[in-house]
Amino acid sequence: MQEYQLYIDGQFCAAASGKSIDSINPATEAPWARVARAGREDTQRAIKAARKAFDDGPWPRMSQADRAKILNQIADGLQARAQEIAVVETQDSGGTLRKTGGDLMMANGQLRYFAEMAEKLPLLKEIEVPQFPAQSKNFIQREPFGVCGQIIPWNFPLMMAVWKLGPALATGNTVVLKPATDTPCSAFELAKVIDQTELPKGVVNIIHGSGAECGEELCTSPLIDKVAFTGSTAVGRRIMQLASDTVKKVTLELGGKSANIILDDADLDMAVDGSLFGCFFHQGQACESGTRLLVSDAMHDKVVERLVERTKLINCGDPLELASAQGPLISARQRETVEGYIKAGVEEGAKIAIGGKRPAGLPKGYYVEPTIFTGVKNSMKIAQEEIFGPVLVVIRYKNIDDAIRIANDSIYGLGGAVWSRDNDKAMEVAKRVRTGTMWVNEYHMLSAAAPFGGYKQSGIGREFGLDGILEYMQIKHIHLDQVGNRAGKFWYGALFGA
Amino acid sequence: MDVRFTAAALDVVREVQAARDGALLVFVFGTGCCEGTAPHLFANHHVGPTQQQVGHAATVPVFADAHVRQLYGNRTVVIDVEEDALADGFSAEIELGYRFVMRAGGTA
Repeated sequence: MQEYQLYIDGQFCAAASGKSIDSINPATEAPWARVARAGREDTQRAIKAARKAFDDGPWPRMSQADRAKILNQIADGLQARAQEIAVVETQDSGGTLRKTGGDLMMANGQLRYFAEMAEKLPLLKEIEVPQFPAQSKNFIQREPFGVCGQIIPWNFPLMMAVWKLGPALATGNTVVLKPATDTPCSAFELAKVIDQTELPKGVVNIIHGSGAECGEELCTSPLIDKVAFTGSTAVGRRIMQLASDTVKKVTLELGGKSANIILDDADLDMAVDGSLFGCFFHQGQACESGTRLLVSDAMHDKVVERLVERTKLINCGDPLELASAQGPLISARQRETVEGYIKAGVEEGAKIAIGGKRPAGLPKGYYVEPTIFTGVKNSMKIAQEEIFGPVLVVIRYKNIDDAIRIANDSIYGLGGAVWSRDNDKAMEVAKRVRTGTMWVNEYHMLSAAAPFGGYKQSGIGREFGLDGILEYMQIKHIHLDQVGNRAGKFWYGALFGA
Repeated sequence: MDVRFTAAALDVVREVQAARDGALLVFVFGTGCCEGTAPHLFANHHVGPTQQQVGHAATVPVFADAHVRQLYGNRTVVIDVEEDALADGFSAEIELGYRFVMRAGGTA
């Protein structure tokens, strides 16, 4: 069995308690790796290492070009081992090799984007301040925030690690990263890659442990300056409260129940397949998934018929097989949750158009069939809650205003899409939906160069793009006064004048 | 929304009370994203104006957000407990090797 240790202060090490825990392969239901289990003490040690690396180490003071060079070294190392790490990730997470292979490729590109930004970002910029006396110069100095605690989920383990580490490192911060307890292994593969680069020790520390212990330490430690979290809204709220005692900067990327709107003039072949991708990609375990499909009364039957036909062609099976488009869910618990939602949908009066069961011929693994509900009201539990499984709900709308009203009738606002042949009309719809990302005739198209994040209870702050990078920087105003004599100073008259 | 606890769950609530001696405990529910409406037991946690008390576990009050109360209407939910060696949640029982889970119930 594969074994993984914690990565603290540039050393791979066992937990202080000596404890470790098995990681389960969701496709076989069997343990496949053993991972050291950190507690509060290990977390505190990792935080201290990151603090020391920030306060006394070279990293925050290194030239931008040198930081970029090291980020590119990490990207090179990841690229060299991409296939091997994709297999690790598939065994750990149940994501198909198609998906994890793609994630590795994207993660690599994202790191290179952050490296480029690390080099390009102007850290000192002169600003005009007309209210100040003419004889002064004013500057904005951008500085790293400090030590960042980063907590990531299990749906895109390696890519989420890169989303978090990339901007933090590009801007000179140091980090304690906690991968999800269900999927720690690829983060430790990333630690092995990092360990082979010139990144100074203590800049990146990776621990594996519970939210209640490690997560709470990260959110309450006075040595941490910023907490970045991706996960559930309930935990997001808790993190804000915990972080409030020491007034940490908090960024949160939380859940969603995103609306995917097909307009009557859409290219239906594209819209139907795109909508299935929008919902069923990675078994629906993506926070920005388009889980509410809004279709007009006029188009409803035609769209549903096509959705069902196309869903029959989606192949569920062993995620290590390249022929598989859908793998298992992350855990027995998650499958139970998803099956609970399917049951709740039926109880509330919605109808299953296809799916709803465990697929035949797969006795092992936490699989659930891609499932489509019709007859859904937006007030139903299956339309309001994020199921985090392969369950699409189809909701009828009367006209575009009604579609937008339904789309916005959610406490979340993370992703969403609109399908139409008329770009102007689609853009109008995109502008009216209260959400962080809207795709027109596309879904799940995320780029390191474009901001991503939530409206409403889907989060605070942005990841990616310049906006995402600036979340990791403090802003300092420097006023350089050039009045060279005491009597000419603006305060002189106030204090010493007649 | 009518919230009940199994005897095993109440035992774990008492265990957490002993472990977090002096802390004010409160149960809240997720509002329906990744973890659904999972129960969370938090120490020294502020409960906001959209939350209302819907029950109690021993001496620990149970609060639910307006959104959750509306979703469950007059149904009964049962909070049970499972052993869990490791979980991502911040709920206080996790440190002791447990996890509270919600079992869907019928109409009250």
